[in-house]
Amino acid sequence: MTLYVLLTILWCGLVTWLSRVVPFVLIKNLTVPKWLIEFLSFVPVAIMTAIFIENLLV
Amino acid sequence: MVPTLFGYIGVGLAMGIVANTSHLSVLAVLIMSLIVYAGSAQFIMISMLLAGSPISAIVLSTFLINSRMILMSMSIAQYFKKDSLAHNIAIGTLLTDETFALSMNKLNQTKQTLSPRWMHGANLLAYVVWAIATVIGCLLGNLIADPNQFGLDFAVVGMFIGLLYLQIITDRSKTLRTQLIVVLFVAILMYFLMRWFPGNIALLIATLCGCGFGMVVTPK
Repeated sequence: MTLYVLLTILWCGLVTWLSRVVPFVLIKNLTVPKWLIEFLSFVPVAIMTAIFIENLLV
Repeated sequence: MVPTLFGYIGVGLAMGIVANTSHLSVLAVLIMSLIVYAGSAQFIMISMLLAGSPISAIVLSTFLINSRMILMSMSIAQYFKKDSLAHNIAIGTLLTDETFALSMNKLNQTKQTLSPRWMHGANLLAYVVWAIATVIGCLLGNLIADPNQFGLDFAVVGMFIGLLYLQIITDRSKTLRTQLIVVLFVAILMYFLMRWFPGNIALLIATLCGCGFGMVVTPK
């Protein structure tokens, strides 16, 4: 494994981890407005449909 | 849980096989699965590494593909507000499309509550299975010329239609009609967006529009 591959993995790992964890930290410490909760409540059905179509069309 | 695992193993094997044919070592695949741990991003990383792309470009692509995790994390984090920061960070660290979808189905059976214990269990299982499946795929790669001949990529399609179906029939917080309208809206939007945008960008736009559309069509 070259340094190029290792560095790529480490950097990609960091941005991916931040994308996963920062929302948890923010939501835990903030009061989420009602409209945002309603908006987010559609994430599961919307994102699952989108992932399904994406995989179907590729 | 079991169908989800099968889909997961299929994608993991396919990822390992592709990595092998792209000249990545078993060790590199293992480290990538443990540190990055994101299916579609890993596929992109492998193809960009093979092409010798600059690290900055690979990192940016990874961020764009995984930006949907921001949405999923925000959506699920509400259920763990009362739990400790350590629990929240641990859950976020190992959250994936699959465990997110599973937990949304679980929510519908548990009166809209999730326990950190259950979440850690599902996340850890998925994490370990992913690492093992990708490594086995990489080892198998030596024996297989064309990974697509097994239709492993189709396992993902099957898995998500199953999870989507479960989501629609079990989410009691919304009417069936509202959910179906959102599904139809997102599906049609995705179909058109994917002509002009890369898949992951189309996915983000379609999801965000779908959420806004859902708010509008919900009977007040």
